[in-house]
Amino acid sequence: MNGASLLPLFLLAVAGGFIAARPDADPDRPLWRGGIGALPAIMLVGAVIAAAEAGSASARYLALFAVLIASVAAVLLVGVPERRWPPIAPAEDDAGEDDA
Amino acid sequence: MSAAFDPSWLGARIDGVDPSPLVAGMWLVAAALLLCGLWLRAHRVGNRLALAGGMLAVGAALYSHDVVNLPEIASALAIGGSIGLTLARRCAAHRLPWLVVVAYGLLGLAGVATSVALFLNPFAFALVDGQGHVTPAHGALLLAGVAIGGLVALGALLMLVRRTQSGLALVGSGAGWAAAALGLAMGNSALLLVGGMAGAAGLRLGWRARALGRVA
Repeated sequence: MNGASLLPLFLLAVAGGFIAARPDADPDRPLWRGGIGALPAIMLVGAVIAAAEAGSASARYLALFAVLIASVAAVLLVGVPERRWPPIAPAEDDAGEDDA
Repeated sequence: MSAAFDPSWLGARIDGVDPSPLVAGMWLVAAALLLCGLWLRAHRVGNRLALAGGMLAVGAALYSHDVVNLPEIASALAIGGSIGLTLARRCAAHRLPWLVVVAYGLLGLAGVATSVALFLNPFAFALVDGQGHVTPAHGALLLAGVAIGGLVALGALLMLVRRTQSGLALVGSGAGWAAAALGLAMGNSALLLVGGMAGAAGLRLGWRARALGRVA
């Protein structure tokens, strides 16, 4: 199979991600505001490749739907951490919830 | 068995096209940028490095493939990007974490849709054996993509319903594993590398958050 030769790279990436995700990098900046959120947005690349090589009409429209929602998600995951975050107390309806 | 270190080993030989050192280099630089983004996750520059890596990876994907429907892909990217930008700019500040949960759920759905699209079009990605059937290994990887993507979408929906963000890192990790499964099926090194990194990082942070919650 194509991907079998990529297994060593995969194991290397898993080790790199495990090491890079050291805890408590900045307690003032919650997880969802950092660059880690943007990593899963790589799914957009898979959707673009699937759409680029689309054969049948159903595969093409399904892949285009994947591109659409993956691009929404990618812009959200990259754009939300860029928002200014005022150091205020959380709203009442979110009070007491964990910030992961 | 030779273990030559050439571009095809790095995943540049996708669906039978000639190996290209340029494309392999673009995949690797994109993965390196995203690793820097993960390492510098506490800083705004980390987010921007990750953005640059993602854009480079999308550019490499478009450059390295025989794109048959570029206008449709560009339209989907523009419409989706506009919706995401509008939501990210206009959402109230205290609701921004929920927007991240929604984004992870959408990524899970995208993983399911991409896996099914690959299953419907297996010849383009050389996922078939000599008789034209999807090989068991590739079928298992596509099934993993559907299952993990579905679990991510379901988990994000449950987080929205129960109004808890305690599983945020685990949901992000699941989206990463789904991308890695698709990368392994397609032979794409960028998807595999970044998906594996995101999966491992999310698992470590998620387990730590659960352990801290249990202690508290």
